[in-house]
This record gives sequence, structure tokens and C-alpha cells, in this order.
Amino acid sequence: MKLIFTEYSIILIFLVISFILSITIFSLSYLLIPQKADQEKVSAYECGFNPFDDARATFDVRFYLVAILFLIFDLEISFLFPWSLVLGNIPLFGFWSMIVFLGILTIGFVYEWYKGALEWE
Amino acid sequence: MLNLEFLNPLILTSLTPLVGLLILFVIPATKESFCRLVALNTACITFLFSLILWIQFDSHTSLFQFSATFDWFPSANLYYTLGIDGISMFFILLTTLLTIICILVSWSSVKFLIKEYLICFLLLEFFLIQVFSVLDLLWFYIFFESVLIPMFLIVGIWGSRERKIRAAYQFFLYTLVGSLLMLIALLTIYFQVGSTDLQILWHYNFTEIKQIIFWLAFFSSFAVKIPMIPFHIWLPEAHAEAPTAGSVILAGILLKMGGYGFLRFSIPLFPEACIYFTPLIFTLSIIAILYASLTTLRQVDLKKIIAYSSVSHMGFVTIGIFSLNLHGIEGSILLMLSHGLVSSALFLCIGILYDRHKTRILKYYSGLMQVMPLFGIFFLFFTFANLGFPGTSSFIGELLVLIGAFQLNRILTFFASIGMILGAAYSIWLFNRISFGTLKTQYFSFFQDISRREFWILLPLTLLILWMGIYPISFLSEMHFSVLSLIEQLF
Amino acid sequence: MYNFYSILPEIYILCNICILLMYGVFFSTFPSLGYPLLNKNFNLLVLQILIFSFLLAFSQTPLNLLNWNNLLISDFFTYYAKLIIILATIGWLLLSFGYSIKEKLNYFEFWILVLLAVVAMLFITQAYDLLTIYLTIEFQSLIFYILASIKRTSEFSTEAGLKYFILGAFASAFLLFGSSIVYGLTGLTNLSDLSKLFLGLIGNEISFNLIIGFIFILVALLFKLSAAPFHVWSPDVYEGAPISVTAFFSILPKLAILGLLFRFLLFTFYDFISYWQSIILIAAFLSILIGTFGAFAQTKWKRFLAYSSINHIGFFLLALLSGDLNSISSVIFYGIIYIITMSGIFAFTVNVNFYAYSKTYQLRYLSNIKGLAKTDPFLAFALTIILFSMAGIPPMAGFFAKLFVLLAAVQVDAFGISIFAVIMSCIACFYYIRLIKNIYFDSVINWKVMEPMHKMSSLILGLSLIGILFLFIDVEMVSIITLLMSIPFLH
Repeated sequence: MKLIFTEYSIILIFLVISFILSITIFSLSYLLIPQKADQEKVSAYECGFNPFDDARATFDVRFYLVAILFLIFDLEISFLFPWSLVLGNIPLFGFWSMIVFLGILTIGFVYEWYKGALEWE
Repeated sequence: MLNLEFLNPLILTSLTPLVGLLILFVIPATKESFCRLVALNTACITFLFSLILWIQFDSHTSLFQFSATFDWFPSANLYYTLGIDGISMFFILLTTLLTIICILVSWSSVKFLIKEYLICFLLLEFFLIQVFSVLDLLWFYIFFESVLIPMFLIVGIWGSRERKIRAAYQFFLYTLVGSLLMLIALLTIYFQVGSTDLQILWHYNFTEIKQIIFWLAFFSSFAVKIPMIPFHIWLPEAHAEAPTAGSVILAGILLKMGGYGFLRFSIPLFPEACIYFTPLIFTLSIIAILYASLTTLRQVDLKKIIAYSSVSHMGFVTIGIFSLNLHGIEGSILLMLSHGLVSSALFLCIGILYDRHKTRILKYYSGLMQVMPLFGIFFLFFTFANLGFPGTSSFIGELLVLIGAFQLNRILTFFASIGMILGAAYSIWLFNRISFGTLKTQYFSFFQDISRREFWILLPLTLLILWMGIYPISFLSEMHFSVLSLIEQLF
Repeated sequence: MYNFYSILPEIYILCNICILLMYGVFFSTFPSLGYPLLNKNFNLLVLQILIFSFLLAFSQTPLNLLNWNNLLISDFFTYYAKLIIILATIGWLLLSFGYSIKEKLNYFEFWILVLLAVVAMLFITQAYDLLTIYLTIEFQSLIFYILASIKRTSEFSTEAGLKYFILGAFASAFLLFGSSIVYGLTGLTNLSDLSKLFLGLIGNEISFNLIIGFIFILVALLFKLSAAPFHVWSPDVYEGAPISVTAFFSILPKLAILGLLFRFLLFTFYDFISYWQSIILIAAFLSILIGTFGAFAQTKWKRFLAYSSINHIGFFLLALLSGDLNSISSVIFYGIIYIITMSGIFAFTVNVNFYAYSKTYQLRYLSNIKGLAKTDPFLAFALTIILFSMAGIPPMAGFFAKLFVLLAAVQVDAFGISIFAVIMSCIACFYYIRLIKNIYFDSVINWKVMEPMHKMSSLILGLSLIGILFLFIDVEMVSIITLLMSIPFLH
């Protein structure tokens, strides 16, 4: 067990240093700055005017949808990479199992297309 | 799987209520009189089949007669065996007779859900006949428990006042808790012996410690059913709230299931434990006799009086069973049969009064002999039967029980005889308060003597009680050999 | 080639899912057809697919082999379990026909998710490797999370789905963590390899970390089964989900996850029996306790049924203690009776709607069934029979199920927990009787107007009733199947 972990000790040192560095920067910024908050300073900035409206907008769920779809198809691509490397060596069965996998994902793609998940407006 | 002996009268008796039930299912509920006719005919045919049982019964042997075996679950060694001997035959006859009487009693007093009411009674009759005729511990337990369902519905739906719900709950849950302990004992016996067939279990010797534990588990179930003090509270509640027919069948037969259970299962299977626990049973029985009789003196509800007197009579029965000699056991069986007839008859009389005046409180009734003489005569006869007057069946029963107890323990007999005096006290006082004295016309203004239907319900009971009291040998001779073989198995 | 033969029903259903998905999405977004609602089409198509997959699974011969690089297994248990799951799904489908049209669950994806869940459960029964266990359980759980929150317009449903998702994901994380500990310490993931490893390894050579890993996996499986003390999600999730989805949760996954639990405990970790016997004992004890007392305070149907099924799970776990052939077969027998009973009661609760001027209301509160005996006597009778079966009163099937489970517990001398289970069963009986009281005993001032049930669900109610009432005639038939199903788990 000791043999394996000598290589990971570098990562541990890196982790610790980055952790310490970020904590130092944050805490120095918090401790050394004089903080006198008053109402004008913490209000939202809108070119010197009083704010007309709430600065927050409702989160558009299509961003989330795009992120999930990206995740799915990105994983599909990451499965395609090793398969393409060994395609010469695996027999016909290997080819067809990947085609089945791609087929199922294509069905999902057709479903979301017709459901309107790809409409941007 | 089936032996094609469907002409076996026991199977015919068992199946007729089911056939009647199925016919009742398909009759629409609006044809009330047709429903009642079908139910009455079914009950009469069942009674005739059970008479065939008596006629063809061979009283010179103690083996199980009219027996039939069905392969229910052969891979687990569980079979469904039926059979009667002298002890169970009379209970089956009592069941079928009382069912006819119950259906006749509710001819005009039950006003709603008639069809379901009759279905409940026929189902109850089927379960009761099976309880008394199966020879297998598991099936006895199944039917013992199944009786609760129709009885619960009868007490809860057709009972008379709001307290019926509480009475129904108490009845159901008391009996259920006791029976479930019996279930664990049953499973342990099945696991140890490999079978639940009665005749196999008779020849198996349990160790004494195991016998004591099993006996206690079985006792918890039967003692609630009989009922013995201190498990008796459900009985007055259930009786007070049940409809008349419900009380009749409850007092007439359901209490006897406990005594039958003791006779058929506890005594032959666990003989050493029985002898070990005899003092406990005797103590509880004496307390039952004396305490229940004294409580009866204080009651104001007519049905509760008879209910507590039932508890007192069943105290005699348990003394008889556990005296473990011929006189005691025969006396207890005869006392059970006679109590079935007498208590049912008393509940019928009270039901007659309730139908007319819609109250059961004692204070409203007085001087009824002047306006209902025929009713008064019947009620007088049943009162004498209740207290054990010579010439009635309960005298013979109590006499035999006391003879049996006397051979065992003199002090026990002394205390039990005091119970007879107390029995006389509450019975005669009840009769006096109701029948003699001045009519309380400030409460009631219309009176009516018993109708023809009610007369013909009460008359057979009277004749049977007289027959059992004057010529009991016709009953005792049938059970003689069975009881003798039961005692022989003990020692 | 046998690899594909053993998962032929699953492949068939998966192909059909793809075709159905394409069909659904093409037609429901077709503007010129007017965006048709495909609910009824899908109902019947899914029924057809399930019937064909049943025929496909039925006509296979039960082989005993390991498939797919030892990841899946095919033996007697999987053969019969697949048949039972597909049959139960057909039953569920029939009883929720009317509901989805009435409640306007117009998403055709609902039916596709149901089919996917069926595939998931069919795979769960076949899992034979720690990885496969995780994959199939995740598959099923993910689909259940979506099903719980399928009704997008109801915040109850969303809340239920969210709760189920968070807690379920946490439990799956436990499963994965336990599997990784076991893999890290032994280097094996296949269940049969693990069982061979542990074969002689009792006492001194087991490191404590292995037990920790094992406990994590066991906890996750008990969570999925909703056994106490990991049951907290089930009342809330059952309450919030639409009632046909609750029926799906309640009826179907239990048998599959039980099979998995058997394989895991009795086949792989059989040598650890001294460790897991006490854990299962505590889980059974708490489940029975919480299931009994939790249902007392409930006023709504869905939560009541959730606590009732926790009670039943306690009985499942009770028989697992001894780990021999008869006890496993009694658990499977109880599982089959549980599926039949739950189908019956959900056939009632899903489809009963009351009409009060201008709106029809779903059955939500327990007191909504007051006076059902007057409005619909046969429905009241059916509900009474099913409730008595859930309480365990003979002669219904529920009693026999509890009988065999208690027999299995008694065989291991676990008398304390048997007596406890029996007493809790009495207490549970009280609230079942309370429901029956509501149906029959109360006098109704406002009669409820009920819509007639959908024809298909009355079919399921009828079949369930026949199963419960008449199972006792031929218990042997079912017990042969359950014995066959429990042979593969022997060590």
C-alpha cells in the first residue's frame, strides 16, 4: 500500500498549498480592510441612479436543459473514443453493440427534438 | 383427493348452511320475506341432517364416527379431518337448533340489512359446526377465530345503542389476543411433532415444562371464551348490546366453544399440566360463581343479569371439567347443553319484552303476570331452570358436577353449593320484580302477551329442558363411552 | 447465445419502449392532427406489450446459468419472479386505467416510464454482482423519482418526488460506498465468488471493515424496502404521489428487492449470519412496532396504507431470521399474498370517487367511507374481506401468510419476537376493525353519492377477492411455486 501512495503525495502537497494560499488571500482581505458599510455603499449600482427594478432575473431553465444535454452527449463521445481505437480488434459483435448504444441515444435525441427542447426562443 | 362419500351426514350438515348462504347471496335484498324463508328452510334442513347424526350415532364406541379426511396440504403434513364423538355431537345439535330459533326470533325485529343479517347467521352456523367437528388443531384454531367475524358484524351493526361499537371492539380484541397466544403454541407443537392431527398428538408425550407452557397458552384462549374471571368483562357488554338473536347464539353456543376446547384439546394433550393447574382453575371457578352471582344482584339491565348468571354457570362447568372424573365431565357437558338452552330461553324472554317496550331497564317492568300470563309461565319455568330446580336439566348437570367435585375436594363443593343458593337468590328476585307487584302504568300503557311465533320458539326449549331434566340418560348414554375414553387417556 | 435468451423479455420490452417513444413523440407533436392525446392508445398498447412479454417469459424454460460475464443470473427464482412481476404490473395497469383518464395525466411518457420501471425490476431479480446491484437499483430508483413527481400541477407530488430523490440518492450512495469497501478488501464483486471466499472464514479472520461495508449495503437495501428504521420517506412519498403511482410503489418493487436481499444475505453473506441476524431482528421489531403504532394516528388513506405496508415488511424480515428453505418459501408466499391484497385495496382506493355537487372528489380521508354499506353493499363486503385479510384473521389468505411466517420464526426459537409480532398484530387489528366500523356501523346522516368504479378495476378487485377468500382451499399449489422459488437461495 505504501508503494502506490508515493505518487499521490505530490498531489496532496499541491492540494494543501493551494488551500493555504486561497485561505490566506481571503482572510487577509477580510481582516486588513476597514469595513464601514453604509446604505449607499451596499446598494446595487445602476449608473448613479436609484435602481429601477430588481437586479435579479428569473433563471431561464433552457440553460439548465442545454447543460444536461451536453452532459449526456459528451459522455456518449467519451464512450466513442476508446471504441474507435480498438475497432479493428473487436469482432462484429463489438461494432453492433456500439451501434445499439448509439441507436438508443439517437432515439433520445429524436425525442427531445420533437418535444421542443432544442428551440432556443 | 375427495372420498366420494358425500352422503356422510356430517358433511351434509356442514355444507347445507353454505348452500343456503350462496342462495341468499343471489337473492336481491328487497325481497325480504323470501330471504327469510330461504334462511329458515336452510336452518331446518340442517337441523334435520344433524338429527340423522344422532339417530345413526353408535353409542357403544368411543371412536370418531362419520369421519372424513381431505388432503389439504399433504406436503406439509396438514390434513382436514372431520369426525364426531359423543362429546361433540350434542353441541352440533344445539348449534343447529339455536340457529333456527335465532332466525325465527329476528323475523320482525330486524328492520334493515336483512339479507346480510341472515348471511351472517348462516356463516356463523357453518363455522360453529366446523369448530365442533374438526379433528385437527390448526383447523380448530382457524374456525375458532373465524367465528369472530360474523359475530362482530352482528353485534356492531344490529345492536341496539351507540355503546355497541365499544362492545363489538371489546369482544373482538379480547378474544383475538387470547387466541393469538394459542397460535404461537400451536406453531411450536406443529414444529415439534410434525403434524397437527389430533389423533397423532394424543399419542405424543410432551415434557412437563412444555406441557405447562402450552397449557397456559391454550388456557389464555379458552378462558377468554368461556369466560372465566378475570377475562369476563366482554360478556356483559356484548350481551347488552347485541340483538336478541345475537345474544341467543352467543350465550348458547359461543361460550361452549371454550369448554369444548378444554375437553378436546387441553385435557388429552397436556394431562400433567391439567393436574398441575387444577387448583388454579378451581379457585378461578369459585370466584366466578360467587363473585358473578353477587354482581348479578346489583344489575339493573335485564340482559346483564342473565349475562352475569352465565358467567356463574360457566364457573360450574369448569369445575366439572377439571374434576377429571366421569361424573364431573358428564355433568359439565350436560350443564353446558342445559345452559345453552336455558340462557337462550331467558334471552328470548327478555327479547320479547324488549320488542314490545324497547327498554331493558328493570325499573320499568313490574306486575307483568297480570297482563302477560303465558309469558309469565314460560319465564317462571326458565327461572327455575336457571337456578337448578329439580326436574330441569341444570339440576342434573349441577348435581353431577358437585358429585364429581365432592370426590376430589369437600371444601370446593361447599363453596360451589353456596353458588346454588346465590343463583336462587338472583333468579327468583328477578322474576319477582318483573312478574309480581303492581303494573307500572305510568311507563307503559299497552301490553301484549306472546304471539304464536314466540310461543313456538319457547315451547321446544321448554320441552327439551324438561326432557333433559327428567330423563337425562338418553343424553348421557351417548357421551358415556367418549368421556370414559377421555379419562382413560389421562391416567 | 444463452446470454440473450435469459433477458429476452427485457429486450422485447426495451425495443417496444423505443418504438412507443418514437410513436408517441411523433404523433403528439403533429400540428395537423391537432396534437392528439395518446393516453388511451398508450394504455392499451402497454397492456398488449405486457401480455406478450408475459407469454414470452412464460414460454421460456427455467435455466440455471450465469450470463453476461457473471453479471446476471437466471434460475428458478428469476423465472417465477419475472412472471409474478409482469402479472402484478398487468393488474396494476388495469386498475389505473380509469384514474389516468380522470385525473388528466396526459403525458404519454408516464406509460413509457412504467415500462422502464418494469424492465428495471426484472433486472433487479437477476442481479448477481455488486455492480449490477447498484446499476439496477439506481435504474429503478431514478424512474421512481420521476414517477413520484409526475403530476406537475400538484405541489404535493413535486415535494414527494424531491424527498424521495434526496433520500434515495443518499441511500444509493451508501450502497456504492459499501460495495467499494467490500471490493477494496476482498478484490471481488461477484456474489458467488464472495460466498466462496467467505466459506470458511468465520471467527478470527474477518476484519471489522468488511462488516462495516456489509452493513452499509444492507442499510441501503433496507431503505429501498422501506423497513424501519429507514422507513421515514415512505409515508410522505406515498402521500404526495398520485394514487396510481402510490399503488405502483406499493405493489411492485417489494418482491424484486426481497429477492435481492435474499441473494445478498442468504447466499453471499451466509457466514456472517451471526452478525446480520441481530440487525434483521431489530429491523423487523421496529418495522412491526412503527407500522402498528404509526397507522393509529393516520386520517388519510395513502399514509395509512404506507404504514400498513411497513408492518407487512416487518413480517417479511421476521421470517428471514432462520434462513432455511421453509422460511424463505414462507416469505415469498407472504409476498404473493401481499401483492394480491394490495392490488385489491388499491383497486378500491384508486377508483372510488364521491360526487358532491358539481365536483367529484377522490377518496382521501379515512372517514370518507362512512356508511359505505348503505350506498354500495357489495363494495363494502369486498373492502371488509380485504381489511380482515390485512389484519390476519382466518380464513382469509392473510392469516395463512402470517401463519407460515410465524412458523418460520418459531423454528429458530425466536419466541420473544413471535409473541411481540402477534401482540402487535392484535393492536393493528384494532385500526382495521375501526375502518370496518366506519363502513358498517355508523348511522349516516349524509349519504355519499358514488360514481361506479371503472370496469377494469372492478375486475382486479374481484380477482383479488377470489384470491383472498379461496386461497385456503388449495394452499399447496402456491406453496409448490414458492418452494421452487426458494431453492436457489440455499447454501
